[in-house]
Amino acid sequence: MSATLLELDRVRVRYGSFLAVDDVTFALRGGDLLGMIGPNGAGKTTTLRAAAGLQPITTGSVKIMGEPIHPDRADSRAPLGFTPDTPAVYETLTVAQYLQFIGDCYSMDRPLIKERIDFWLDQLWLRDKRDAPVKSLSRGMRQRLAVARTLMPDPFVVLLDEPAAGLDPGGRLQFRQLLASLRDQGKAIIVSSHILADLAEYCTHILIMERGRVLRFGTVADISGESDASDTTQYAVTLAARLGDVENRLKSFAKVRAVRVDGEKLTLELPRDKAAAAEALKGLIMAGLPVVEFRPIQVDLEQAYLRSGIAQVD
Amino acid sequence: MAFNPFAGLHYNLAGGRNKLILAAGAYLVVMLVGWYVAYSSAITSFPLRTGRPPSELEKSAISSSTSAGTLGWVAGAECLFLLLMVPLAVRKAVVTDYTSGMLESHRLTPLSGVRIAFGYLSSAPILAYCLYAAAVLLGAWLCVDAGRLLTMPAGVMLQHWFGGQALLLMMSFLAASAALLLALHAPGKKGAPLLIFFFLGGGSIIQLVPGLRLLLGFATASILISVVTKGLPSISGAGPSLIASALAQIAFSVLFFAAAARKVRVVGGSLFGLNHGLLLVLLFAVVTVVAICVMPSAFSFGDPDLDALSVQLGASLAVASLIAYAPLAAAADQQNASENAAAFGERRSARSRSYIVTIPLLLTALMCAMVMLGSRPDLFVDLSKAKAAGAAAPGSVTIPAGTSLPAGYRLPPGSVVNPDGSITFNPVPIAPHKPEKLSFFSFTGDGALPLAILLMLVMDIAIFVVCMRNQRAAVLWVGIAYVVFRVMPLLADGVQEVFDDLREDSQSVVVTTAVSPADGHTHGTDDDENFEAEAEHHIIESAAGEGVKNTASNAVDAGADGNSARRKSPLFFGQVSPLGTAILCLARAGNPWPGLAAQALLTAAFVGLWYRGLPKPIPAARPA
Repeated sequence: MSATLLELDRVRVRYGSFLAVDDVTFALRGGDLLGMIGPNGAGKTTTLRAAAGLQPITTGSVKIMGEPIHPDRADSRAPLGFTPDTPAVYETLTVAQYLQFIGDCYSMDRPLIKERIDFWLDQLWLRDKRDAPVKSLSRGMRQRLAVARTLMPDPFVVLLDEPAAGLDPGGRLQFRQLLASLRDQGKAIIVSSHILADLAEYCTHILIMERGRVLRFGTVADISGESDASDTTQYAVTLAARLGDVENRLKSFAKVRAVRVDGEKLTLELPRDKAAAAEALKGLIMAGLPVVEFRPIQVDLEQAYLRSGIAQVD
Repeated sequence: MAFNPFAGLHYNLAGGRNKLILAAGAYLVVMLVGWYVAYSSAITSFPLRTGRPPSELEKSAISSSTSAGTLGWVAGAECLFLLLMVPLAVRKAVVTDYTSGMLESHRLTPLSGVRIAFGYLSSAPILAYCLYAAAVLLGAWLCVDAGRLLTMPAGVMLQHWFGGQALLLMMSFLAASAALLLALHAPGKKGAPLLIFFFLGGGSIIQLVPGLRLLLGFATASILISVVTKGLPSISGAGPSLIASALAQIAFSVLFFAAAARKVRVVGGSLFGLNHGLLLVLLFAVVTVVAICVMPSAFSFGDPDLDALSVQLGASLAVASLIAYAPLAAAADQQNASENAAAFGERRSARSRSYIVTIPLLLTALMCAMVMLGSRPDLFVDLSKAKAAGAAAPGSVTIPAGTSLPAGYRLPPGSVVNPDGSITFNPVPIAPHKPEKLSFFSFTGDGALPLAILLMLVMDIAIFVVCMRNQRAAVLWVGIAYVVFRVMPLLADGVQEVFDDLREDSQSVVVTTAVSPADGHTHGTDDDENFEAEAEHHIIESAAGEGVKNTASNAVDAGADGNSARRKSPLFFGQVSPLGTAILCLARAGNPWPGLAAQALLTAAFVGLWYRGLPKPIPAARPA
């Protein structure tokens, strides 16, 4: 099992009398990709900044690779990369000059800097913008440049605040692939985003926040399952051909609570326990129905979010 | 580049080599054209003045004097580049990085705070440095007449020219490191550059505080003007005070730089770390004592009968008690952080348990030492004032310490209790700007009152600034102080007259307010005996020991028939500091301690009221 790379323990952040983050606790191991969702003002950005050691915390602790962040120690944040929601850049520099400066800040050798600039500009589809001034880039391009800046030093922990906000659909697709690739390299990644469909695709974990507190934290499957408050699970069944009177036949099964038929596609509502699903599948086959597919219907992340009791929806 | 990645960055941001060369070239062209215009106009006007064309010798003399004049302008431009452009460029770079988020980007890198701070100081003002380099070369050329084509030597020795450059560079380092520290502490605020007005404002503050005079004596407007018109001062003529001043500047610069290096990496929190804060107070105490030792004649203003040192020690103590907020706030931050760390399983520093006691005690000891070492008997006209100053020292520091440390401790991280650099300098100008104007404070004869008044003013101001947690307080206060700084000396003249009159009157009457029974209006009654006979007198007994018979209301609103000087009651000063009104009355009884005690109570009440509005700290949940 991978080691814990990032650990937040009962982190609280106050701005004057306003409690922005309240008792946030979670830990990520290598290969974990956490999607952070919540309404505006939920405390996502503050949590990310606290995790990066850029936001003074009122109480609690943040550890990177088992070591507490000491702001006055230069190497304390070195294993960490953070991309804010508004990309931090020098407008008048060219893309290459900017990344060159970042490489210098991380004391990389010139050949290594050049190699990494080429690599990340290629990975983030900015190769032809190498000598363009940063001020000439579109918002999406700046966002990609900021991600390139974050990934230049090859950090173990990557924190991305709204990284896909300015990306076009093609860019989002490529970005999802990039994140999946980083996840597979064993990095611990947190992505704050409002694009829930994307998060469901590449995240391993989901954290839902509201008013500074963590409402849900767990794997994507857990969060999706938890959001369904009922004690049943829906299963999609596909038959090889349309059959008559199938609805009445299925209703006679002991475990089936409800049946919906749409041609050769059926939807069964079964008790949550997996034994009930196994028994229902066995019954279908024993009854001679030509079953070609039998799968649980996962509640998607969007529904999970909406059902989590959050008052404000973006 | 390897050590300082900011060099390449700011070189690129400044537009690269061409733009820098163009700027330096433009400056040189302007200066040389200026020289040529001045030279040719002098040559052209020569026949008009003398009725004959100049001889070759006279042309050489004109050339030499024109070069000397140009050298003054070159030196003035150097002051502009190093003392204004450099600090402003440093501040602008920090503010720009803060606004764009690049400051946080720097914080994420493994660059040490020292390297980042060095990067800001050495690279951000690259344009100013280029212009300065051009000016140095031009000045050197004017000094030695290297070309012997256009000019005769300016009559300034080259070693003096470069010695002056060393002084300027030291001052620039001090100004730039202070600007860097303030910019990093409050990058969103624009008030810090206003501090320049205090340095250029005539040096009145510096006259009052010996340590500041030693530290900043070369940065007054008069010195800058002298530099512009006569060239930089030479090292040889300045003696030990110049060397002490240079050492003090280096020490403070290094301290500010170290504090800035810490501040680069530490987000939020106090302006100084605990060690830096303590060092700041220590340095100030040392500089104060050294200033009194090496420049004793500077504090009598040429008048051996003027008892200025007691006032200056009081002012120094007041400034020191303000500076003391830096280590106090840092101690509060550190204690907060260590308690949080302990609650979450990290080892807790044993020292942190006693911060709340040890730091104020340490600071008290430092300030007492400063006053005692600075109270040279040979410099006092009245020795009792030295004793009074020494006696009041512990009280003066423990009061702000006692109130500020718990206040700072209660604030959540990120809130600010720190005095900005500005408030360090600002309270003192509330008092009249020259010691002789302060002499009216000593009318009780025991020498303690000036200290009490200064302290009460400073404490009120300090608490005021602390209470205005919003950093705009610094900006506001700079503005207020600047006005007061200019207005108060004028008022002080009037007040002086009041006390001159009063000294001639009986000892018991200090402020008299009269109400005419006829019209009910209030009148001043200094010389109107008929009116005085009708008046109702409010008498405060003096320090002679008869006790307070009555408390006067202020006489500022005296009627048109009252004496105008009389209307400027000493209670005006009490009104500047509302709490001070009560203290003034108490202190006038002859014993400063009731005044200080009342000040402490009022301060505590003030802080208590403010305290109630603070959010309660969240106790750290201890691990099960």
